Amino acid sequence: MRRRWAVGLILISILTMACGGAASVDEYKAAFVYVGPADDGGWSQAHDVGRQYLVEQTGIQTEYTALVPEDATEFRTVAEAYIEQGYNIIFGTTFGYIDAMAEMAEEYPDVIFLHCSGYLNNDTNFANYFGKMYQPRYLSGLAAGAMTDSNKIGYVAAFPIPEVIRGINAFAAGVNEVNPDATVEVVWTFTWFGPEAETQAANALLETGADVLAQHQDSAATGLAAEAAGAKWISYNTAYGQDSAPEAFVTAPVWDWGPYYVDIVESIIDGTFTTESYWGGMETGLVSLYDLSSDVPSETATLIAEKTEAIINGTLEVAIVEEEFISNVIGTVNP
Amino acid sequence: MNKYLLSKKIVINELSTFYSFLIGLSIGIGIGSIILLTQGQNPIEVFSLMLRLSVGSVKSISTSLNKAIPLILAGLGISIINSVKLWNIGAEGQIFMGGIALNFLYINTEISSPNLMIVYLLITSFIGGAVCILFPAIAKVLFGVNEIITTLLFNYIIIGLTIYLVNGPWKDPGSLNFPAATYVGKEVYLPTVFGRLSYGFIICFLCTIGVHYLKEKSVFGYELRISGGSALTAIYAGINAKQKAFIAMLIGGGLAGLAGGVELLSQTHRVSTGLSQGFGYTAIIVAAITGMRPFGIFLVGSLFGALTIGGSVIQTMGVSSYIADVIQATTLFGALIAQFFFTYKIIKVSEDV
Repeated sequence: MRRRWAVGLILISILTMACGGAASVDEYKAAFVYVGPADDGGWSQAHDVGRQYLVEQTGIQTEYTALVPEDATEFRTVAEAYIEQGYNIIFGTTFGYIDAMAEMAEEYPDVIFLHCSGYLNNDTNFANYFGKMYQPRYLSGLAAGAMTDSNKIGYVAAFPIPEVIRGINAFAAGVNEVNPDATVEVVWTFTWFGPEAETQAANALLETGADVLAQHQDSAATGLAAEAAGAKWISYNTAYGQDSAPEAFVTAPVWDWGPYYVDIVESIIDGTFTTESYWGGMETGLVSLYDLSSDVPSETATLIAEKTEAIINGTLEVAIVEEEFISNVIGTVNP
Repeated sequence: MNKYLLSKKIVINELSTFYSFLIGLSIGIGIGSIILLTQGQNPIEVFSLMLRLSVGSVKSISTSLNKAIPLILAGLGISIINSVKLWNIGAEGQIFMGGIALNFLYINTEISSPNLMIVYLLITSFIGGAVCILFPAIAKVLFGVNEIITTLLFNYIIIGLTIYLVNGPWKDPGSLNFPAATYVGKEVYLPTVFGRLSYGFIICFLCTIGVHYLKEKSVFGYELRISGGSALTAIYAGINAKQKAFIAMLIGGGLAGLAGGVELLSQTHRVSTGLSQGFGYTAIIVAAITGMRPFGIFLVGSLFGALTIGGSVIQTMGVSSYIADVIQATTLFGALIAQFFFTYKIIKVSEDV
């Protein structure tokens, strides 16, 4: 560990020396604002792991605030506290901060605002970034389709926004490819992080006969429900869920924010930063499918490996459908 | 053998609620400091940042007071209802209903004069809150149904209604399916007094004076106290106790509805499930620790606003969210204990006699 630090320090000093007259990392402080706990085992933790990687790689000073509701005043209070303390890069990692971040970017032109999963940006100091999570979701659908006996797959989902809908459709397309008889049933929870609501939705799906559950949620509650019922579970965000639900865990489409955070912060430091929307796919490593559990049939594992290769080298494009559900999905996009 | 008994003090210092809150704050800061030290944090740095960002500048004072507005308005409503010895646990739902009623009027009306429109919208939010408590009030006076249960249950109904509206008929097409209603137009935003302080605070102050007058100085307030005190006395005095309780509940619900209306026009600018961050429940605490006194609610509500803002910035110093919650909770707990000793005294009773 210490050796890694030493190597890091040497690298940083070489980098800073190489940069010479350019701005140094000491002039920047980065703050992260999360909607859930930093140890939620899911979405927010994936960002926090990325933050720690950023610190390791660049030596930049960072801080985070967890459990900030998707409310303009709440976000503003926290962000202004950081600005007051000299922070000049603010990461907001949930969709609902969008309006507050757009407003604050106008108000604080010297601070750079980076918004994850939104659709707004400006020309100077407000950028948005995200990943093509629907790609590994499609791959996880291949696994789910092969694992179900009841041909009923449950999907616990947060909000009917385009990001979630295209994920469900990509997943269902994967299911359909290996198992045309299977259906994917969606239950909306209307919360990103709400273990109670997630458990309730998961149990409702299990009771109606689903034997594989997938999720677009931030906690591992769906996995715990699947584990208790002896069902299988496709997790999301991170693979930490395999510790809490070892029998149920099949795989997970996961995030790796670290390298992107390093790139964007380095671009800010060396002055090449632009506010263009960033949407990284599997070829960047930002999104990927975690290792499959040993329960997955070997022919399915081979198929998934082939498709992974095809997505990465660009010969396979996963379709983006976000206006309505495809035919093997049961549920509505206008609940 | 000696026995110790708790006895309510006959004379309670009017300022006691304020002092008790300050004592509680000190207890909270004391315990919080110990916790922070165990976390390797410097308590002086953390608390001075809290102070600076909650009351240290015009901007932060106005942010804190904005946070206090819904607490004070809903707290005043709870205090009016409590003068007939009834509890309103439904302020949370009434806040949402105030916002819903306001938005209903807004989307169904042509605006000719924005200022007049704001007045109409706020009156509508008051009516919305009153309508929300109408059923519990009727159930109470006609059948004696426990208002604690009915007002609480109405919260779930109204929040369900909110979820339905923001996902269905009122969903903002521009929000890409994110469940929230369309924003109201800028012309009906509440203007600001100074910094970010919205006119809601003036409304709040006027309501505090109004409720104080109503409760303490008016015949109606006297009748409320008699009705809540003793049913027999009320009959003897020729007061229709049920009618008074009914009116008190409607006014109280209306004030919580107004809190929702002011919050919508000054802060959130739209109906969503984030319209209230549990203000209706916090307002119960504010009203209870001030002994239901309007000016106490005004003062402690304002301090609570600052504490909320202060609490949400603790994390920016690297304190974990769990520790931040503990510090907020110890402060509140300290205030409740201090209030207890201002209200009660321990007396020694000798059993030998």
